[in-house]
Amino acid sequence: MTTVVALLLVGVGSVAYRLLPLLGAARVPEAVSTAAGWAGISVLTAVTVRGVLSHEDDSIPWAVPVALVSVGLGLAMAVRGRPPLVVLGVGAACYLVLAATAGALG
Amino acid sequence: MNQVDVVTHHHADVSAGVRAMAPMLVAYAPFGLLVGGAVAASESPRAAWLSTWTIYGGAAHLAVLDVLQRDTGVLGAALVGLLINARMIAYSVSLAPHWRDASAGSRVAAAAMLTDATWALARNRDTADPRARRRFYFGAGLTLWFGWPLLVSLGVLVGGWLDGVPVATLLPSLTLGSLVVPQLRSRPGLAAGVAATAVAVATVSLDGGAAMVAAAAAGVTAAGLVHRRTS
Repeated sequence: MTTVVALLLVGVGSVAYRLLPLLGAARVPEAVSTAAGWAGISVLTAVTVRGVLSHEDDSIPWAVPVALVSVGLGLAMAVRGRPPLVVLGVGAACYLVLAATAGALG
Repeated sequence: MNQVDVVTHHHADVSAGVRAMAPMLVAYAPFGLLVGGAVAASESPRAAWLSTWTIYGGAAHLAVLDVLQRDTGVLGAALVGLLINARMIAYSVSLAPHWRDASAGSRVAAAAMLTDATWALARNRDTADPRARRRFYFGAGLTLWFGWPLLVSLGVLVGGWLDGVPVATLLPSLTLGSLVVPQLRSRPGLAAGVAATAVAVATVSLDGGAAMVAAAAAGVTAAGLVHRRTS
């Protein structure tokens, strides 16, 4: 029962988060919408950074630095305008190579 | 433009959205399977699975199920989930200008499909025509709206076999990062990104929801200051 109620609360709240501003779209001032865009960029950036910094891999030493370099190289591709699949491929391949190297050295 | 041209244009926008979202689904696959594993292990798998469409955010879904496993109670779990998903308010508010002249039904449908990837793809879409932008949004949004629950359902069936593949947990960061990079090209956007990175580093040991709110506040402040200075 606890699980159902908690999921229901989060579900209803999440739908309201998405729905209410769009339903009242005509009343959202331009400046607020611009600031919300910056907030969105900030949150996505923070999610990306947290994902890397909290990376765990018990099979190798220096898991976080390895993840940091791999994601950094992947995102360098994004800076150069490469599509997301290339970013993913480069980042993942880099991680596998660095993890194998770190595993061999460690 | 004749009717055939109009229909072709409409289809082109929608399929551009589908094509833009398809690689995201590949990238989200490990995360979806992970969420599915947590759904299967939850006390109420059916309710947890049905929440895929309402919560519609892997991080919040996973966090709520995780907190519930630790017996912290309804309110604690709900607060964590609501805090993590609070970013949807920002996404929805920022998209509002593009949906002002859309029907109420379209706006409800758009809201149902709104999440990180749909928002970022819609923002990165370079077109002046709001209707073309909305068609693109629906192409991308529907792809994820059907694809994400499919991944979660697959995760329910195959469980935690991805636990032993650490590189899989990095894919969401790479995906979201690749979406946010094009938005850092403006000075305010870059300022927001730098401030959010600093806050994310400083708050990495804190709860995810609170850290997101702090990152958003810092990012908006930094971007606002830069915007004021440059305009």
